[in-house]
Parts: sequence; structure tokens; C-alpha cells
Amino acid sequence: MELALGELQSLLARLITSTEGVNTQLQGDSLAPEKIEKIIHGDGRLGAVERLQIYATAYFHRLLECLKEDYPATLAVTGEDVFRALIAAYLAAHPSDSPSVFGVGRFLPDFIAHHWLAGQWPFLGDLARLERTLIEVFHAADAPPLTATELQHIPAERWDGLRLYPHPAVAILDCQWRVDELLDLAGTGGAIATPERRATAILVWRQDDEVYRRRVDCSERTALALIRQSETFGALCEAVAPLLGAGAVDEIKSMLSRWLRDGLLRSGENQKPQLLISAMR
Amino acid sequence: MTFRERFSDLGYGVGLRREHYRYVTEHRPAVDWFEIITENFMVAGGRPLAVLEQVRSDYPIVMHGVSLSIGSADPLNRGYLDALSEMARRFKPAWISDHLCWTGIGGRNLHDLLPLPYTDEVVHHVAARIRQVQDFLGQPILIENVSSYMTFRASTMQEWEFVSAVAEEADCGILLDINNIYVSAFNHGFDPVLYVNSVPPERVVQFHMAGHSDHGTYLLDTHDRPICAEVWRLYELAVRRFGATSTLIEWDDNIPGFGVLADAATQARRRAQNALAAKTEGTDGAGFGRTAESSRALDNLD
Repeated sequence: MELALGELQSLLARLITSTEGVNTQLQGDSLAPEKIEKIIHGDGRLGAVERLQIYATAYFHRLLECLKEDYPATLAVTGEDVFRALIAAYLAAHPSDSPSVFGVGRFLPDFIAHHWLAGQWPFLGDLARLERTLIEVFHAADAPPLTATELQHIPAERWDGLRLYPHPAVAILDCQWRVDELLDLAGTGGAIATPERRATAILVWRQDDEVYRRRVDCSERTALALIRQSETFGALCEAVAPLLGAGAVDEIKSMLSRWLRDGLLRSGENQKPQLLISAMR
Repeated sequence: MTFRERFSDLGYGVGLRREHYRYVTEHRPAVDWFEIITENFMVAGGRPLAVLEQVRSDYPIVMHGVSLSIGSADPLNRGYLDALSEMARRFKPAWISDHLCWTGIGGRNLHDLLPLPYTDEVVHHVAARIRQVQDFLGQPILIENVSSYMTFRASTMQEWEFVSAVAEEADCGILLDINNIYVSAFNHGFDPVLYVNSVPPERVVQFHMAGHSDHGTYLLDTHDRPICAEVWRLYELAVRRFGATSTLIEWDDNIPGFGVLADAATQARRRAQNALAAKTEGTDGAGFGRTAESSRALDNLD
């Protein structure tokens, strides 16, 4: 059975990536195992299909282990068996097109949100998206953070029209569930309870190569969204002040100090904003 | 100057893995060089790149890829090559290597190193693509023999003939993975000594050494345990044939403390020095000709 290289590789890829196993996929393709024996050498120790199955087993195991590492809290919620079935379905729907294993799981949160598991654990999509965001922020672009000294050099008359720019390694997630509580529980091995259902904005950022997260209230969420939209500092104050009430000026100063301390803003006015904001389902 | 002579002998190094980032950057351990998995650093920013910057300032590095898919029937991935080129420009590796295999088709990546049929047609296909990559990068690359669990009836030559033919036609180097030779020799029943003795010395620039697991009917290239005695003996044979050659210890799963890897690199250095000394003194007791009879010599090396 002589196949062109592309035909051979397509056939092998289909068999290796089948989560049902090589034999089942062969039946699905109406291919007898003898056909594979005509392509691949078998011997007394291992037949051709068994040899191919070594690759199929390794394929699934390798990607499963990567995704377990990327989504430990999601795994803790579902347990090993359900997670394994989830990943089998996911890889069938989203075979990797990424040179790096980092990219393999990037569609998993959306996949979960539409999966039947979302009926059993309605917060699971939020949780997976938060775990994915931690990875993306970890690998996001570097940029020098804006410093207090830089801001202090800006004349008072320019502040109203001043535009601030978010650091590339900053993201805000809008969640329907307080899934951030589950991240700390995931590693403990304890039972994972359903988190409180409450709209929550979670800020994720990287500073000095470490990834952090915290909840932000409505005013800070609004302010960060306006920065992302390249609105001026004046417009930001105007929008946020009514949310803060009487102490608005001090609150905004405090917010700005915290952003500078955490490195949420980038230095340089000519950079495009890259804040990631994901609306949760 | 032969192809091999265009490259420095880097000595004895280990793979740079995430588990050792802190140790390596804080202690600057006494190993000669580091090899990175290129794709692990194809990210926009963050700690891996910061660590690599620091490591690069203290050690030579080599960029070793797993997703070039040089044997695929797909067109070369231009986006991947752009990223590879950018990394090479930034980190200035001693050289760039990848595997003589295919890793995907139809735009999909199987994240595995899959073997090719050993035919003249595939030699031409792969060699032409290596030349394209080398032209794009502006530098020669090394290709590594992979461990395999299947071979194709369409093959018309042995694996070592295929590796040699591709390297000659592409004018590229060979990263000879000694453990892979041993694993594939067991899995397919060929003579590992014949393999080592058949690869053109002027093309071999680097060795890989790693551990594998024994599954009874086959060996699996797991990189998760110490290098076994038989692979060390094959390494000593390779050193006698090729001379002192940059050697890299790979360990990718069940990763131990850095000291274990450093000790393996030290052991490689000692074994290489002893093997070369024995060769010089003519006391190695084995001719290691290019024939299959030499297979017994592997058992007699001790």
C-alpha cells in the first residue's frame, strides 16, 4: 500500500488523534487492521496497530497532562475521570494547531461554557477562564511600568486631558460566580463547594514575573475599562466620581496609587492600550 | 574546514527546565552550557524570557525545537519561522536544532516526533525544506534522530542511511541522540553500534543523552530517569568515533534536583575523557568498523 507522504501523514494523524483508540478509528474509517500492516512493519513483539497505538496513547496522555497543569482548579471540581472525558471531547473539537503546548488549552473555557458539564457546574466556565487568564498574563508582553515620578512631572493643567495606558500583563475578568475562591482550594485536595453566585470583576496582573489577582469594585472596574478605551483622566474622574460619592477625590487618588504600586499602567504615551477584558458567560 | 569544525565544542550541558530556573539564576551552577526547548520561550514576555536573558548572559545556549515539523507534507509554517528567527536574533544561540521527523499535518500539531518513511523521495523533500529553513535563518541547523516505535514498509534504506543522506543533501549538521539510537534499535531490532559507526563524523555536532523506560515489548523515550549503563556504553563508543562532542543531558519528566542533572553532565565528561584516553592509548580493545559484527563490541566495552 503505497501512499504519498501527505496521505500517509493524514491517515496516521487521524488514527493517532482519535480519542477512541486506533482500532475503533480504523473501524470508523472502514479500514481493516491488515491495511495498516501493509503500511507499518509489525513483528512478533508488536503488531502494526499496537505500534501506532503507542503514539495514540502518548498523544492523549501528553496533552491531558498539560491541560491538568493548566487547569488544576477545573480538574479539582470535575475529578479525574470527568476531566479526562472532557479533554477527550475538547481535543476532538479543537485539535491543536499551536507549535507550543501553551496554546492547546486556549479554547477550553469557551468549550466548557457550551458543554453539558456547565449544567452540572454552571461556574465551571468562569473558573476555566480565570485559570486561562492566569496563564496568558504570565506570558503577556513585557513593558516598563509607569512610575509615580513620571506622573509627578506632568503639569497640573495637563491632567484633565491625560491618557493612561494599561500594562500588557493586566486583565480583568467579569465573572458571574466568585470562582477566585476556588483557586486556593484546588491544591488542598479538599471538597470544592459551589462558589457564591455574584457578579464579580477579577483583576489579574503580573509584577516582577509573579501573577497576582484581586477583586475590583464597580468604580475601579469602570475606571480600568475607561483607560482601556483610551479615555482621558478627566473623563475617567467624571464617570467614576458619582460611583464613589463624597470621598471621590481621595478614592481616585488612592486607586491611582494602587495601580502605580502594582504596576498596572505602562510607561509611554504612544503605546496602544492592550488591556484584556473578557466578558464572562 | 569540515561542517563539524564550524561549531565550537561547548562541553557538557543540561536542558534548562522551569523547575530549575530559580536555582540556576541564583547559583549559576558549574555546567558548561544550557539547551532550551525553543517553543517554551515563544511567548510575548514574562518570567521565562527574563530567566533566559539572565542565563544567556552567563552561559552559551542552544535552541532546540520540537515543532519545526521539517518532514511534514504541509508547507513550512512561516509564522513559526518568524518566531524562531526572532528568538535567534535576540538570544544568539550557539546553534539551532530540531528533529528529523514530522509533528503535524493539515495545520494540526500532534505534539509528538513522528518518524518518516526512509526513501529517496523523502530525503529530497526534507533536505529541500532544511535548506529553506537555513536560508531563512541565515545559519545552518542541526537535525536530531528521533526515537521511534514504528517503521514503514515503504522505506528503502536504514534509518542511519536516511539521516546521513538528509544531512549531506541539506548540508546541515546532525544532533545524534544516543539514547534514541538505543531505544529505536531495541524497538526495531537493528544494531545500535552499526548506526553509530555509519553516521558521517564530519556532520555530528552534538550528542543528546537521556533516560528511557522499559515496557517489556518496547522501550519508550521518556526522559524521566537516569541514563542506563548500555546507553552510556554506546555514548563512549560514539565519543571514540566522533571525538569530543558537545553533550547535553535531557530530563523532561519526574525532574530531579539540579544536582542530579549536573552530576550526569559530569559523568558524561569523565566518560568522554576516559574513552578518548583509551582510544589514544589504543587500549579500547575494539575496532568498531562499519560492520554489523561490531554489535558485540558494545557489550565488551567495560
